[in-house]
This record gives sequence, structure tokens and C-alpha cells, in this order.
Amino acid sequence: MAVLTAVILGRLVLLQGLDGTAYAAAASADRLREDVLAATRGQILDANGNPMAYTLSARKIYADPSLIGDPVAAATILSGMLGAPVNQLVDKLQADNRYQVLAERLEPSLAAQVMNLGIAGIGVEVQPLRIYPAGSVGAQVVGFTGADGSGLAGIEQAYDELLTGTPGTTSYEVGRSGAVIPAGGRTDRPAVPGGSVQLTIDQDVQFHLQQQLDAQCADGSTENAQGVILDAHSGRVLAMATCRSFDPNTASEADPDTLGNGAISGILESGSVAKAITLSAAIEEGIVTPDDVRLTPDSITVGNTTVRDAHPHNPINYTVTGILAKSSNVGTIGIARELGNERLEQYLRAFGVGEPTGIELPGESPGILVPNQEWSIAQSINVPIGQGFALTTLQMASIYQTIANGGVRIPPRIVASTTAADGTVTESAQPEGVRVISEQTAATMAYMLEAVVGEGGTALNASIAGYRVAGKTGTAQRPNPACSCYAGGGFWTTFAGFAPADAPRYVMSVMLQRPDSGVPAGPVFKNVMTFVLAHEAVPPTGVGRPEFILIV
Amino acid sequence: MAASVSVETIRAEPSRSRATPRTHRPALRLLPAPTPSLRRGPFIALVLTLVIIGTVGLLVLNTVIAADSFRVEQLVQRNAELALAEQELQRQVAEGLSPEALAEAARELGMVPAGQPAFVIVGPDGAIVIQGTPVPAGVR
Repeated sequence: MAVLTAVILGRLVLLQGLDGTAYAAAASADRLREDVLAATRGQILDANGNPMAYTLSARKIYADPSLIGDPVAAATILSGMLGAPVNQLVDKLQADNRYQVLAERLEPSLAAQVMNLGIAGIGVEVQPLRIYPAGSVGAQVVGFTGADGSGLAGIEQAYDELLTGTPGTTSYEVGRSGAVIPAGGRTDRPAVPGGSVQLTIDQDVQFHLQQQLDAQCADGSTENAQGVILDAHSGRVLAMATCRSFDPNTASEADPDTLGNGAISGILESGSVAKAITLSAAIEEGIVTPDDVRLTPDSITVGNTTVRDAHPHNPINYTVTGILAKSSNVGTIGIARELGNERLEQYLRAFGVGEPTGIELPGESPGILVPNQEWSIAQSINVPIGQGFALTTLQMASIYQTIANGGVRIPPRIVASTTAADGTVTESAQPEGVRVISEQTAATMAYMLEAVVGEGGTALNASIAGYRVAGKTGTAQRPNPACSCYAGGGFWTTFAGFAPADAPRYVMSVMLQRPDSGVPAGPVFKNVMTFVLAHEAVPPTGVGRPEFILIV
Repeated sequence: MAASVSVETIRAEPSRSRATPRTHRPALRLLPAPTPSLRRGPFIALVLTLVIIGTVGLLVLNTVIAADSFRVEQLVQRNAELALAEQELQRQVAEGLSPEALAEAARELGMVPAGQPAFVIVGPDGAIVIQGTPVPAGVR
């Protein structure tokens, strides 16, 4: 009797005292059900608050074929409402499993109509749907999301964590049958919806730029076209596009080649656009002034590399302004040889070549610039005229932003602010500027670049009636990936510039990639910049274009 | 019964307390048993009233709660419907506001992109300067 009592008592102590908490926890875990509350993904807005991406609640209609009585009759009724062929629906309704998705991304009202038919075996599920109201406009910047709702490109990827938010949970007690115990404990941890991201992009400008680039690519021979527009003083990106965008609403069906943001991930050799760097350096270092005269032949040979000017000519007495306005390769190389490779590389890097700008987008390329000690002789005479190093279309714009902004380069940014779920707005700080050239040199460069655009320069086609425009054309041979040589690689034609030249507001770079060098990029600049100036209500400065002495 | 017990108890007591002299003991007699109260009627009425009020009150409360819960359900449903309607309307607005849709709508109305504007600059002294040359729409 005593032994039995001891055993029972011992067991009691063991159960209640020692293992008690574990059993209680197991019991409560058995009763507790936990459901995940999905967090709504945040919005992506343009500079004016127009939504470029947002999430709404759509519906998915599914069928359990084992419960469908008459597949043909059901398919006939559903076909009209779901917009799917009858035979396809019949196949699905007769499938040998218990879950067939009949239609996705439906308006809730349409799904409700389908459910009102009361067909047994047809069910509806809530499906978060990412909507991009602007379609292909800015798609390469905004990016897209995958089937699981996570960001796979662009801002959607870079700000995925902020946009996603934090899913919540609701846990409650259920009885054996699964019914909720009304008086049972219930704990809700509500979902925190995702924050929103406001871009510096203006949807209208973006649309116009995209249209102009697409028009270039529609000619059948232009393989690629890219453009970037920056605010001259803040470095903010007003628009950024690559021709042939895609519709992020149906990203999974898009041509994969169109998904990337070429303006930051693709690289090109800018050609004569880079002469602005060479001359900025030479003026800053006191090697030349705009009115210095250089007797310039039409070719220069260093080692066994010969570089010619675009058109044959007898030796001409070009001013330095004339060398830039006429885009003389020989004149520029002559000045660069006085500058030296080391200083040229210094200035290239100061202008941002060879390092990523740090823009808030995934997949940015830093460009390619090898240290000057490794330059071959051919490279050392090609770099000053924009060959032998590579940059992105964005970096090309950034170089001209530096000149337009009095010599201070502001690394370009594309996110204006982020707003957390609780409404806290975080304005993006403007990155610290980098003083590349003096204000005086920048003003001199703006003056010289204005000589390029208009009468006497190479870019008459980029001039805008009533406005003073500064800029530079470029043409570069494109390396042929097949042979690692330039033969058969085609060309890049480029243009970078800003307006108004005497009170810069906007900077733009354009690149066209073609099998020939016959189509200049200047007109694209002209068309888009004309729109930007009118759209942003930038009045002409009312001061006439100065006279330039190009040849003496 | 209770009365008789108490009488016995009282009677038995003196035998135990020897200190008390016999002569001082007061005369004892039996009290009549308490007569049952004749005022039961109002009490029953009170209890009955309370019971009825309670029952009816409970019924009314239950009905009100049930009616309210129906109303809550209706409102929740209506709220959900309105949220969906709003969502669809906002989607239409957002799509209508997109540059592509606007451009298409404008084209359908026969509109063309504006030409270059001129700017009227009013100086501090009221002098007017016109900057730029206006270009008619459709001329590029």
C-alpha cells in the first residue's frame, strides 16, 4: 500500500511539477492555430506622386475537378466570363487532380459574379496583384516582381525590404473539430504594410524620352538607344530609358533582353563626348585657354598608331574652342599629350569614369578605365578622344552635369524619398558634391561647348530655337565581341549636353548603337530637351548666343 | 423543537453553576412558537417581477445584440464592397492618368503636341519682355 502511494505520488510530482509546463505548452500548441496576415506591398510613385507601381487585391478562380458534375456545361458558362476557350476549360475541369487554376488576376467584381453562379467545385482565392499603371513607361527603372511577390529588378528589387513590409499573424484556439473557441485566447500581430518609394522620375518626361528612343530603334538598323536626363544642380534623374521597354504587368512574357536597365548596366565608348574631359583638364591645369591657336593637321601618328580627323583637311589654325567645336581628334590629342596620361586619368576618375555613381538601382556598371600605367600607346592617344575606356550613359550625363553645375559633380540619384508604413517620410539626402574643376573652368567649358551646338559647330542638329544649348557630339567604334576587335562591331553615336547654356537647368545624354555611324544622336537630344524645357517651364535666358572664333 | 431545546439548556444551566443562589432565579415559561408571516404576498410579487423583468430584459438584450451583429455583418460586407469598388475606380484613374493613356486619348480627340511656347517676363517696373518665339502646335 505504501509503495503504491509512493509511486502515485511520485508520478504526480513528475507530471505536475517537473514536466507540467511542457505538457501545458503542448496542449496549448495543439489548440492554437496561427494564420499569416499578408502585408500589402508599398507603392512606387513618380516625382509628382503618380503611381508607377501599386498592389491591389485581385482574385484567382480555381476548380476542384472531382466535384464538377458536368464539365462541358460548366466550361460553357465560365468560358464567356473568364475569356478562355471552352475546350481549354473542359480539359482543366476534367483533369486528374483536385486543384486547377482557371483564371488569375481577376477583378473582384468579376470573381463575385462567377461565384454567384454557384457551380459546385469552383472556388475563389484572394491574390495580391502588382499593377503598373504606366505600363512600359519607366519599367526598366521601376522593375517588376516575381510570382511570389518579391522584387526582381529595378526599384522593386533595390527597395524590396521596405516595399514588402512585415507580415503579421493571428493566432487563436480551436476545438478538436477545428472550430474557433469563442472565449479562447486570441492574439493578433497585425501586418505592417510596406513603405512607399517616391522617385525623381517625371512620368511625362520619361514617356517622351521612351517614345523618342523607341522611334530610333524602330528604323530597323538601330540596335539600341539610351538616354538619361539629369537636373543640372541636384543630379536628380528626371528620366532614364533604353529603347524597347517592356510591360511589367506581364513581365514573365517579356523579351528578356528588354528587362535590363541599359542606361546604367550597359557600357559604351563615348567618343568625342569625352573631349570635354580632356579640355576641362587642360584648361584647369593652365595648359590652354579657349583662344589659344593650334596649327592642326588632319592626322597624328604616335608609335605606329595614326588617328585622323573625321574629314581630311590641310593644316588649319584652330582656336582651342575651334578644336572642340569642329571635334578635331588631332587637336585634342595634341593638347592631351601636353597634359600627360597621369593627369588625364586623374580627371577622368574625378568626372566619375570607372566607379559606379551609387545610384539606388541594382546592376550598375562602373565602366572600364584601366590605370594609365597600363595604357598602350594606341590607348594613350585614343583615351583623350573617348575610345579605349567605357562608361555608362548615366556616367556620360554625370560628366556634363559637372560642367553645368559649376564644376561640382553631384552623383546622380533617382529616389526622392521613402515613406514608412507609419507615415514617416525620409527625404533622400543629396550626395556630397565632388569639386572636379573650378567654377571658372566650368564656365569656360560651357562657353566652348556652346560653340559646338549651332552655326560653325558639329551639332547644328541639336540646337533649340530660342534657347542657348551647350553640348558635344560623339562617334565611337564599338568592339566586336566576336573577335575582340573593332572590325564589324558597329558604332555608337552619342550626344551629351545641357540647356540653357548660360543658366543650366537640365542635362541629357543620348547613345545610339548602330551598324554605321550615319545617324547622329543630336536630334534626339533636341526633341526631348525641347519638351523638357517647355514641360518644366524654363524660359530662355534672353541673351543671344555669343560669337565664337573657331579658326584664325 | 428549537424552543424546547433552548428551554432545556436554560434549565440545565443552574445545576452546573453552583455559585448562583437559587432564590435569584427568574420564573421561566414557554414562549409561543413564532406565528408564520402573513405578509408573503408582496415578496412573491417582487421576486416574480424581478424574474420577469430579468427574463424580458435578457430577451430584449439578446435580440438587440443579435440585430446589431447582423448590422455589423452587413456593414462589414458593405465596407468590403465599397473598398473593392474604390480599388477598381482607383485602378481606372491610375490607368487613365498614365502618359500612354493620356497621349492616346488626346490623339483620339485630334490633339497634337504643343509647339514651343514664348515667355512673357514681367519686370519689377511692370515692363514686359517676351522671350522666345512661339511655334504653332503641330509644327516642328
